[in-house]
Amino acid sequence: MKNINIYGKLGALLLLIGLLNSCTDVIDVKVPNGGARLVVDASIKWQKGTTGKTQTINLRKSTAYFDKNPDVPVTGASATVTKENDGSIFVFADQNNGSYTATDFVPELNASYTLKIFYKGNSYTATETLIAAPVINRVEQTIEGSDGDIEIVLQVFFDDPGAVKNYYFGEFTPSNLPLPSLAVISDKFSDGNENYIESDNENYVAGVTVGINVYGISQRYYDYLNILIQQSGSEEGGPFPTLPVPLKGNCTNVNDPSEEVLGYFRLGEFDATSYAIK
Amino acid sequence: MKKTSQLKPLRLRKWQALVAVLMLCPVFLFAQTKYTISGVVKDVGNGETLLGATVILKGTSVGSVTNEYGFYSITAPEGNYTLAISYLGFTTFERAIDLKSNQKLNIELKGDNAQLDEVVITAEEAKQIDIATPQMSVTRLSSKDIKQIPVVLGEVDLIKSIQLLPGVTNAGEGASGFNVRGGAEDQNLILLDEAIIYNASHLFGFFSVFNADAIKDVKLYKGGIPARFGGRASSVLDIRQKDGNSKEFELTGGIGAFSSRLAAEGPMFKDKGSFLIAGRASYVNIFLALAKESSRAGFYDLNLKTNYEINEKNKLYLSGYLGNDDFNLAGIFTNSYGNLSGNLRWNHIFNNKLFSNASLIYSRYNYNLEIPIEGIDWTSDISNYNMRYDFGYYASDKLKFDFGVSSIYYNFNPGRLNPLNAESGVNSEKLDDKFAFEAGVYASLEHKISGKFTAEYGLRLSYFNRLGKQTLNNYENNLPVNYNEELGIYERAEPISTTNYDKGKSMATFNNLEPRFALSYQLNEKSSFKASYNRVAQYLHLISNTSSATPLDVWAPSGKFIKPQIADQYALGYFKNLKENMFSIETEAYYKTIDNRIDYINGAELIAQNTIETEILTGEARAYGLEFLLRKNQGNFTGWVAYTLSKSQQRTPGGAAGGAGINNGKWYNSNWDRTHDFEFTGSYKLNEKWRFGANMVFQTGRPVTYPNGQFIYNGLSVATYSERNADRLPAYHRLDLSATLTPRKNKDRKWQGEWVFGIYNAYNRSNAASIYFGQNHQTGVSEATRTSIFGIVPSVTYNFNF
Repeated sequence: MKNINIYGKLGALLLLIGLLNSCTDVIDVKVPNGGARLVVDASIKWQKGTTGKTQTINLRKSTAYFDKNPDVPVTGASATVTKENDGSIFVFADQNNGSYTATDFVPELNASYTLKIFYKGNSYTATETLIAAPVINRVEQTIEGSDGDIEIVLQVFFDDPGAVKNYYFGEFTPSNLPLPSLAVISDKFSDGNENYIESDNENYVAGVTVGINVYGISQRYYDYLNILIQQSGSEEGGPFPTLPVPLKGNCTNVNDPSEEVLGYFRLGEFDATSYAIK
Repeated sequence: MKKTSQLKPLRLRKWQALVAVLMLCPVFLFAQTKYTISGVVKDVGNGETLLGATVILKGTSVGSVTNEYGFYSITAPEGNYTLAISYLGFTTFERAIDLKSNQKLNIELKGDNAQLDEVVITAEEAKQIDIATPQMSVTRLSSKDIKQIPVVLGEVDLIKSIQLLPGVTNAGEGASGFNVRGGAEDQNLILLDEAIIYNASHLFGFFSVFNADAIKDVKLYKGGIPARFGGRASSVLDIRQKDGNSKEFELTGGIGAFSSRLAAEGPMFKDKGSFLIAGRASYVNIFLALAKESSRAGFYDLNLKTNYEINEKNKLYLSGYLGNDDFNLAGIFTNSYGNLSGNLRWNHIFNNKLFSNASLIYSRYNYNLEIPIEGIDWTSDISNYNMRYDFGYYASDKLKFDFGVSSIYYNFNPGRLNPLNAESGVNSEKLDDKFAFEAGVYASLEHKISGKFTAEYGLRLSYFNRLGKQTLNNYENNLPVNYNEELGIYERAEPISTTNYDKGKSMATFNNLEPRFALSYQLNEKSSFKASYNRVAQYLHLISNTSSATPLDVWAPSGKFIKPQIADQYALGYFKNLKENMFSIETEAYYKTIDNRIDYINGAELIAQNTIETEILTGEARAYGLEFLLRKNQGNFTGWVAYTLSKSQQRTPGGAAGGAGINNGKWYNSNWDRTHDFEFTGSYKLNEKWRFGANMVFQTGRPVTYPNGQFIYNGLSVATYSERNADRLPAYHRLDLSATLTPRKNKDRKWQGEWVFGIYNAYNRSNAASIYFGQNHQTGVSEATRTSIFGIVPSVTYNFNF
């Protein structure tokens, strides 16, 4: 099913019933601080038709929730990725700004890769598979809602292979916003059909160009992103929130498995396009 | 025709005699010359049977209360007595009785505003706590009580009213249900004329589905649940509809700001019966249209009841309910849901000591949603057929037996997905239908042990059989959920094979013995201690992992992967009537445990989920608390103050799936845990013209999980959360006011009208329904956004009756 936030829609209904005097406002809240944790923002992205030789991953520290400077780079770590089927090792060189870059990476569909990070005497590891992406057929622009209450929706169409479970991740980057908009879908209710992944946004207005990437992803990463999208700014809140849960990624400290490591190591092929909103 | 109608009771009588002999052996030990008075108590004004009226022989300990059908039976040694029958809001009936034979006495009580008559009049009977019976943890509201509750949002609302009682809360505004003594929303057995109601809310809790004009009596059991009830772990809300005025035709109605209602009732079948038909409809839509909103929201409901007295010993009742909600969110999303129920009942009085009722009941809850842009059309429903036969045997002045049988056949349709149009990219999909059969046999004995002690011993044997046709997945080691040691998360297992169960084939069965026990110790005429224990098995589970249940949640039966919830509750209480029953005090302490409470793995997908077992882990729940209720029952000012101090928690260890469990296997607060819960409700009659009412609520905010950090990932700043429900929303508080104007010209005329002015949330408190943490789309800064649903809501209603 398309990743519909039914509870969000129910919530919108309820707010409506609040006889139009319901409200949302930004407030000050005292929140707990779980301390700085290692964040592995490691996405190997291989655009169709490219070599995919240059890849960058990012290591950071988490901050208190309302910290105004959330970007705390981790330097001095060493990072490698091993391609399991032939044992080749790609070294990601420390750029001293939290990013680590390799220029000799070899992407291979359905191959398994292992990320290894050494940092302050601890060894961290994560394993994932590089998943194939579909070919984008076209992008359609439609509207959701009626009268004064409408939003522009972009639908990105592609063919889903039948008789196999597929998971997709769409990254929408509008030219007028600082943040990308993320969406995931599975083919659970549309297996073998032409599927689409969609994004609606109040900031999609005529003249805005939206960069679109569509990735194939693993089921486990789909589950991770699904929670992340629900719990990040991509969806509205509302009165029927699902209970927030810890976001557990796939990176673990080999020396101390109880250490909470944030982020995810994943690999995905992607097809890209861009769309100018009319 | 006549022959067959007589044959059946005759055959049952023999069968009954056998049961009675087997069960009532101890009765014969008391054999001496005793006689019985029995009959039915009614309201002289409209012929409605009065349930819960007190019937006593003055100066003795012999007494009883009328049952759900107004029937009473008392037995005493030969002699001269004064029989007194009293009921709140009615003048007490008294009559000298020379008891030297069995007697039948049907009584009609007069309302306290009726004229004096030949009957001896005492002061108006005040509401008082029944300190003698062992039944505790119960609150009863008659239609008269309900009418006195301050109006919120233009109407008297039953569910909102019971939330003003100690031990009853909800998970916030917009929650469809309520929570009793730390129990979950799905643990309340809501019965409307015995039919199970699966969702008691209209417009997401804005109104309840119960039309106050159609309701005669409400009982909420928070504990000490009698043996005749089963199937829900935490409470029973037993609602009885009016039978309809059997004396004259009557119209009642109200025109309100958000909805209007009309009820008609009157005699039928040549005064052998009566009918009631009551309807309500909302017009929130007009407001939406005026506000230039393209969305729509509305509801309607209809209550029906009729009865026919075949003869003195046999009476038939037919009742029904139909209600529906419809929503349209700007064409993006449409949703409708509703309940339907019907009940055919047959009261049969075997003799002056044995009363029986047989019921055939059907009820259904269904919902539909359509999402045009996705091309999705989704429907789901749950329905059940229920047959029950209940007996009351008034054996002696010391013993009263209740016993009976019940059976329910359930049909669950968790969902059917259809493409809404030709362009839709979805495939048709049907989640597996589920079937189950539930049965119960019970017996309960109320025993006056001495002048001070009264006990109630009850036992219920329940049986649940999950039936085919269905295909179940099999999993390795029988584990649908596995713990991934490396990542520290719970994951769905892949099925290794499937098992087919044919239609009607048993897939899993459960039996439970459910003891119920209650004891009262009367300190004196005014006060008593009570203690109770009950065990209740619940075979149905509401699958929901939002902060409060939504109308779209699906019920799932117990089976191979989900075990029945078993609740054990212990309660102790002290009860006292003060100052000639002007005041009453009720204090209770309770401790409750629930086994096999399910919870959901992180990232569980419950919508359109055919294999719920891969999304859940089984745990336990516990709740304990202290309740205090002070009521003022008489005078121009009536009302109560309620305070509850409580805790409600849940724990879900990994169990066979491995790992520590949800929240690392530690206890966490349930979504509806409220440490402090204070309520005040009052009604003040200034004069014949004006009456004022107020509700005040103060509650600890509901538990929530706040983020304990943020991190940048894939260009976004993402919140990360730690322990479940360790934080709380700000405290919830609210004041509602109402004023009722009864015009003076009402006097001596048939048409009675009144104006009700109300203000909900009078000081416009922005109570947080939820707080959402996310990144501002424009600035990228992390912020907390509060959603509050109801600000100040004024209302005006005109009520009439003629």
